[in-house]
Amino acid sequence: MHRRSVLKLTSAALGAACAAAIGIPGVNYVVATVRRNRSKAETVQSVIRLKDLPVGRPVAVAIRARAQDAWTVAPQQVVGHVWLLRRPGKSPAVGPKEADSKAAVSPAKVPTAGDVPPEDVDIVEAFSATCPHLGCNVVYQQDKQQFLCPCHGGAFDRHGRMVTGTALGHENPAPRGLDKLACSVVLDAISGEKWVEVRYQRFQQGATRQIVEE
Amino acid sequence: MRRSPPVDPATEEEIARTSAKLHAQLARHRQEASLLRRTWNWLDDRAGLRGWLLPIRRRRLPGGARWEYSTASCLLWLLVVEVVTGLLLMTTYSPGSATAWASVHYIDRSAGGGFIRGVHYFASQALLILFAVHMVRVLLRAAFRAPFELIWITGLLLTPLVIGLAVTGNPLSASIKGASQIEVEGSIIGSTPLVGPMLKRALFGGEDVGQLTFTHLYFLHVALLPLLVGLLLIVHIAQIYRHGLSAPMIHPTKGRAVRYWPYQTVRNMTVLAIVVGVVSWLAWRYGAPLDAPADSELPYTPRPEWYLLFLFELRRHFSGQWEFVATIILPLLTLGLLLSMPLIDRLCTVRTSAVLRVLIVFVGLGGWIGLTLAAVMRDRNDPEFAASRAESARLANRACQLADQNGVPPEGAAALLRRDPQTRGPMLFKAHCASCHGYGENSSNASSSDAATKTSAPDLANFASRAWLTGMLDPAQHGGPRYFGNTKFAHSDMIEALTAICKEPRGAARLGDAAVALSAEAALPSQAAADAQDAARIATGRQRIAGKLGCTDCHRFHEQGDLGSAADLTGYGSRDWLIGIISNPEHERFYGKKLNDRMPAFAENPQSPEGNVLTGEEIELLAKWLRGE
Repeated sequence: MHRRSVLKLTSAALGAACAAAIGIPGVNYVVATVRRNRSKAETVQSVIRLKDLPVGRPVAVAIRARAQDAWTVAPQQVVGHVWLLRRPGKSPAVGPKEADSKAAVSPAKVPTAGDVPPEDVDIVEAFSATCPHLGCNVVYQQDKQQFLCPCHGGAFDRHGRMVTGTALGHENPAPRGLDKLACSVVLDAISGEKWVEVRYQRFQQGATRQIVEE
Repeated sequence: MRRSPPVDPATEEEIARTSAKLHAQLARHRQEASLLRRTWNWLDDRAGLRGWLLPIRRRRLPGGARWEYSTASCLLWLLVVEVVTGLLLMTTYSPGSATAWASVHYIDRSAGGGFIRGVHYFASQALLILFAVHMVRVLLRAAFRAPFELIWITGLLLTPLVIGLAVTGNPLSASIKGASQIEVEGSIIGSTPLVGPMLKRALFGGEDVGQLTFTHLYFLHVALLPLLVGLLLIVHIAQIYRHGLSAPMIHPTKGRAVRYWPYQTVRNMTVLAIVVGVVSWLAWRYGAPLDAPADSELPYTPRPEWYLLFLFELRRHFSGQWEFVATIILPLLTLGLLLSMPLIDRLCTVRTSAVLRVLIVFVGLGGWIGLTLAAVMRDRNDPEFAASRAESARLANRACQLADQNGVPPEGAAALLRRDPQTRGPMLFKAHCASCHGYGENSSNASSSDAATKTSAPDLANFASRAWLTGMLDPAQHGGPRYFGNTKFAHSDMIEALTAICKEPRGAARLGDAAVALSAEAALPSQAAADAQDAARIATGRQRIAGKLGCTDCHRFHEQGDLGSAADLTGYGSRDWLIGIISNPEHERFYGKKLNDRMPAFAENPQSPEGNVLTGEEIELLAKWLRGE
């Protein structure tokens, strides 16, 4: 090889080495922001006393949780809203509140599931307020008895099912009904009061099936 | 009108044939070329790239390639490194006094982020060094002579911009170091006659360093200064290309002319690779420093970066209102002298000019080195400065540790240390408690005999621990200097009671049990394991306190005894108890109005907190720190 070719090659190689020394960590740095773990949105919490929940009319409650936004950690931030609908009926699932059963002062005072007659408890349904279409918060319209999304007109009945047909006046853009959340009535070990406990999750928008957001 | 000459039909035919043959040949040639070559040709046909690259490919060095020419190219590439790493940092950095530190810490903790910031930090210093080397070289070579004046002038005008980039970049982390530096630099700007105060306000966006200061610095650092640097560089480099062939006027043309690419390029790239290698190693090994988040309540001794220490030193020799001579007039005069070098050179003989140039380099470099060394040596011989730096390092570590553990609260990074008992506890103690109470080794109680510095109240190191309480219940120590010796409880009924107990058989052992039980009331985190282990002994001790030992004759302990005659032993040393006694020792739960010696109430009135010495939060921090939480 000619001396000149060797020098050309050396120049290019050294330049490339310098570019790689900074470029590779640089690309890694940019890619890492995409890969970075998001804080988990799933949380189980008691949201409202059962006695404060009216029968037959949906009520919205806020879910507060420790939320991490890049470097900022907020201990009690509203991470989402949930619509609760209480209706008369027998509910099978009543148990002592999980979190408090550990901290119980005296085991004798903890009311067990058997202590609450099932007929005392109504069924509580819980829906994520996030519209499955594009993620706006749905609001309840008392006159129509429907959940309506203010962004693109997604409409759902009181039980979270998609409203279809001519009554709506336009095509329902929602891909699926409101996302149902696991919900149960629990007993607070200390006060002996009944609370509504919701397992809050976030689901991907736009899909016809419920897919839990990672 | 000219007529075309008659063409022989045979010749015409021949030309057409040859032309067609050549076209076919060219087409075949193009078809056979590699895809890369064809793409290049396609682009070149449309954009004329070959023409653009021609000056670079044809550039020749009349005197041959030289290592010393590498500084220019290396500087340009370092600038590219700064732009690239700067853009990467911009993807995450968030200006503002609440977010800046947190985002920088976040960058340091992300994959590759610490390295990128380290490269940005160290490459900027390499750039400043090379910049100085480049200027010295150009000055000694007199490369400012006609027709190179514009290259010299644009290069010199880059100096304040490059320093400006460093000065505006360093405070962006909103660390205590950066904020203190920009505060001083703002004051220097403010000391300029006439326009100073206005300039300072414009920079700070107000009277003091605050939200807008960081936005302004960010704007200067990433937008205005790079733009100006770019504009000057365009002129600088265009001039180099325009006059590049005239180099023999300055450099003796002993060697034969060679092509720049690759004979000079290989030298440039070697130097660049060494510089980038060193910078990368420093970035990987040490990373850019990050001091604790800026907070006016934290102690800090600011110093400029090493390359500006000479100004710090120079300033010392100009007192009071003349400081601006050192910080503004002298640097401006130096810049003015250098700018007029082409003119001065023309007025001097060749010899005088050479002497003058060497003199400038010697005075400049010598002055810089001398002043820098003087500043470094003074700080090195100052134990207080060393202590201050050690304290700053400790605070920086603690802030990073807290941010790693819990993240940064929404109020901003300064809250990390403000809410940290380990950091604020000792500071609050020093400010409000240490004039009476001792704390461990730092207590002047034991060594000092000077009455004025003697601490009068109990030493609170390891307060409410078993060891502390065992000593307190020892009649020999109770009235001693570590406990109540310098208070009005030095000769109290308590000592008599303790002495009487100790005379009883097994009296000392019973007091030991009481000490353990009392210590368990505090539920100190450091004793959690020991307390759990000694549950039986604690139960015995509790019975003794309420029974045989007769503590409850004066003290209250859970359901027994009355308040008012001595401090409540229920929850002794617990957070709540400590908050109570610091807030108001004259409360009946503690000493009451009658018994309290000299301890002030730090939060006497819970109804009007603004009138209290300490806020509830501060008292809680003190209590937590005393308990080792």
